[in-house]
Amino acid sequence: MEKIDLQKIAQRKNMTEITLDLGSGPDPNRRAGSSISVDMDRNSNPDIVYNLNDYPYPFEDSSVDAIHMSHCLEHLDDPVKFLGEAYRMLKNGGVMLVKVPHFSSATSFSSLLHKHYFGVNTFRDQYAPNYKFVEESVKLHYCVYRDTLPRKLLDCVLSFFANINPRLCERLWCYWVGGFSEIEVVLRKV
Amino acid sequence: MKILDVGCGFRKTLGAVGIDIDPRTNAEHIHDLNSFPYPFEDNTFDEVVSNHVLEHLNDTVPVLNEMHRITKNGGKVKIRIPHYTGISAWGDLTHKKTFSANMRVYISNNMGEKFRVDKTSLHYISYMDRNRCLRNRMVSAIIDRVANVNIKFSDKFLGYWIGGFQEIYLELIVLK
Repeated sequence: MEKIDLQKIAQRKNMTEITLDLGSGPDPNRRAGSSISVDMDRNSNPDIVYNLNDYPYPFEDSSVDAIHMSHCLEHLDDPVKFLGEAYRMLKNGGVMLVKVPHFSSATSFSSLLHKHYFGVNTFRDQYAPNYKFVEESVKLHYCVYRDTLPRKLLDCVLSFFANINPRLCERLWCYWVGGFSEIEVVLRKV
Repeated sequence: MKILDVGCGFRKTLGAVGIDIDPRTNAEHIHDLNSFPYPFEDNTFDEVVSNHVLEHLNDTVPVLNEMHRITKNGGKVKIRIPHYTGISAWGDLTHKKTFSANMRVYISNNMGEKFRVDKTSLHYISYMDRNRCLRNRMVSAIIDRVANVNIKFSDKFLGYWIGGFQEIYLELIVLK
């Protein structure tokens, strides 16, 4: 399959580093700033139209500095395969930021398009032979969209306490506040 | 006594024959548990053990039917699976589903001619970690005792109050 020249797109967009926003979605305000957007939906006007369930992706090995993936991994058929593919595309030392819903929240189970559910430890145990990421940080968020003041306040307070020890929060008290909506994980290829 | 460990992984039950998809494990039989039949004759085993495996497979009922086929009359099927409230439910990317303790009702209603549900219990800490340290042993001893007084209540309410159970243990008697 023909590989896509990311360098060319990056030059056109005046980007110094190549950041991919995979599953970028229709709302430009919710995309990662200064990134090459990839989405299967032509109508959302991404830079590259591509279905992320088709492997291998049309990008060279070690060609990407960073990957941003917000609320997309839960929609893919095979997340293990995806992580392997992301590992292949990332440069050494490159980071991947993944945001997915947490299993304790209603948002995780309310979408009929979700195929997978996640916990704080999901990315820590890596049995797959095709990738080996180092988990840099893992955070919980109470609200996904922190756009109004009440949501901002709620998220600020509850996420602060949760992130003192996310694993304890998940183990003991995540349900007391109605569940946390989002996990934010940063993985680094070394 | 002939014991089979279905999906034995790297921690095969002592004295058991193992079957697993991964050739790196010390299973005697390498076989994809989603494809039927399993490579055993009818009525082969006295006991079938399966620890945290059903949540990785595509469909549960055919697996239970297969376990029924290869187990002798009166034999036991011992299953450990994650509870839907707990951290082990979605702590693994390869999990496809989780379970509630209420599945014992499903089994007795829909598969009553094949299995009799002998024991069901909920566990706050899974069997791998329960005996790892004194704290785990004490916590699980206390919470499990309270939780299993009324499993229906714990399944629906208590689980959410204490951050979820990690494990359901089911013991089924095979009827033929």
